[in-house]
Amino acid sequence: MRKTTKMIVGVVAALAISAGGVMAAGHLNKIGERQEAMKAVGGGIKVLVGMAKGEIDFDAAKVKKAALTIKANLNASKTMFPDGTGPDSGKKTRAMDEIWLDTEGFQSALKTAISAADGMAGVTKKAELMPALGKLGGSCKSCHEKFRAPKK
Amino acid sequence: MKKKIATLVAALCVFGAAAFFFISQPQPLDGAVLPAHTADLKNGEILYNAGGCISCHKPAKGVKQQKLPSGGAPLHTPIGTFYPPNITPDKATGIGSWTQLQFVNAMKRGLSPDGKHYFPAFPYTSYTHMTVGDLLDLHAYLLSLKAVETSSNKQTEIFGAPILRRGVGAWKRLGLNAVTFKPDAKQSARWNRGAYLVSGPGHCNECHTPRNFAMMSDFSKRLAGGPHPEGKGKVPSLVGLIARKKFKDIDDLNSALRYGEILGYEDMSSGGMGDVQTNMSKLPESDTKAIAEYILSLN
Ligand code: HEC
Ligand code: HEC
Ligand code: HEC
Repeated sequence: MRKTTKMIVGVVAALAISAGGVMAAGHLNKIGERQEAMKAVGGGIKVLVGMAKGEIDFDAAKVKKAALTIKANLNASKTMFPDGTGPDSGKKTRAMDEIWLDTEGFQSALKTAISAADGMAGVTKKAELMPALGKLGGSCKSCHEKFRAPKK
Repeated sequence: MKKKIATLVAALCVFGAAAFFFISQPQPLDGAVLPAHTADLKNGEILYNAGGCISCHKPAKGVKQQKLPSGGAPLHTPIGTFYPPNITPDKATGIGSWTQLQFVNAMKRGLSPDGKHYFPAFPYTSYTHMTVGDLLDLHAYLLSLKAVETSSNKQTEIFGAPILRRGVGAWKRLGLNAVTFKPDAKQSARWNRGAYLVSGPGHCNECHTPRNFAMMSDFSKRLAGGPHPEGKGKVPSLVGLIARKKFKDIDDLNSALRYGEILGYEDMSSGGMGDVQTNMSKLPESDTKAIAEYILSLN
């Protein structure tokens, strides 16, 4: 009896530890995931900027594609900032404590950016590009000002 | 013997305190530095934007007139929290009753009208390089703004602030290089304009130049980047930007300064740079180009 109890306790403990391990890792994986998402967002912006500067020919279909990539990745980022993934996580991240101190402000900055991406997806003429980029790029800036630390 | 040592120690303390008292004495400028001057408000506005006064002297969240420098928003620094004061022309709570000389002493010597030393969280360490004429234009511009009366001027939350202020006086003696910018005759007028805006009003050195053990800018590493003064991450180097393929040419850096992330320049927002860039976007293009020319000449 004693032995079985011990074994059960042992197995339960082992399970608990490994589950904890998986959870913690899944948790920290979010840091890499959101950095990839942000890189994809940055890639989308490059295309739009190239067109705005006249380095790439204006093409409404390409604008829409870039805008939707940005939107999808920003949407995905909504859940990529779980508790415990801030500057104290021990991982390389530029996320600032302010994200968790002002969760509402952070999520609303994401929303503003997503609706600016929507606006960009609706651009059909070159003349509409720069104003839409002002809103979209401005939305990246206002979040990065408050919630992203400079590079380490 | 013991008594002798004690006397010596006591004597040294008195001497030390006296020396400290002496070297921490304020060194104000006198009225002779003020030229006969007709204020140019347009120029004053340019300097206000180049100087980024609103970035620190903005009102706290929720105050209606966010665009006026009525102060009160917290400024967090490693030594504590400042609430930069009201610099609108309100007579009671702003700088409306200051004389020109008092304003020039604040900007060039870091001294308050009653002779107190300001902490260098107020970047007079850079503004000191501005010309008196420009400071008078800036003063006139501030006086032309709408006066805002602030109900409570929040006090600086710095431990031992009054004593530290004397310490700041000693620190200035050692390291405040209070010399007005001198143009370099070998360089173009545009380069010199850029150098002036960067080292004086633009106070780019405050973040982009690393500090030595005494927390003074180490100009042997001018604009070479280093730890962020507010303690979060690093400030990038502005040296060799073309060689490092960060920017193609003057026009490229000029657009980064004017548009920042709107045109996809991704390293222009965090760690206080976003505010600087917003201020740069309000300058005449000739000035941002001048800044770009000067910075790209750093190698
Ligand atoms: C709601 C806030 C928010 C918005 C909006 C936002 N970002 Fe970010 N971004 C962040 C945060 C936080 C990080 C740092 C993530 C980390 O290191 O864990 C980041 C990082 C980045 C990075 C660096 C990625 C890497 O690790 O190399 C790029 C590039 C980037 N963002 C581009 C953009 C662009 C372009 C936009 C606008 C279309 C944008 N971001 C909008 C919060 C935001
Ligand atoms: C980086 C932040 C920062 C910037 C930028 C800044 N200031 Fe200040 N300023 C401060 C702080 C902090 C104080 C208070 C210092 C102290 O209490 O020792 C201050 C104090 C002052 C004072 C003294 C006011 C008083 O009531 O005693 C004046 C005048 C002033 N600033 C003018 C300016 C002007 C003009 C500009 C723009 C050219 C400017 N400041 C830009 C942070 C800043
Ligand atoms: C409050 C501190 C601060 C001040 C003042 C400041 N900067 Fe910066 N600067 C930064 C930080 C931090 C970054 C990196 C921002 C990021 O990673 O998003 C930066 C980035 C830059 C970059 C981009 C560098 C690159 O590698 O792409 C340029 C250019 C720049 N600053 C120029 C200036 C100029 C010109 C001035 C003066 C007019 C100035 N900065 C004043 C903090 C500052």
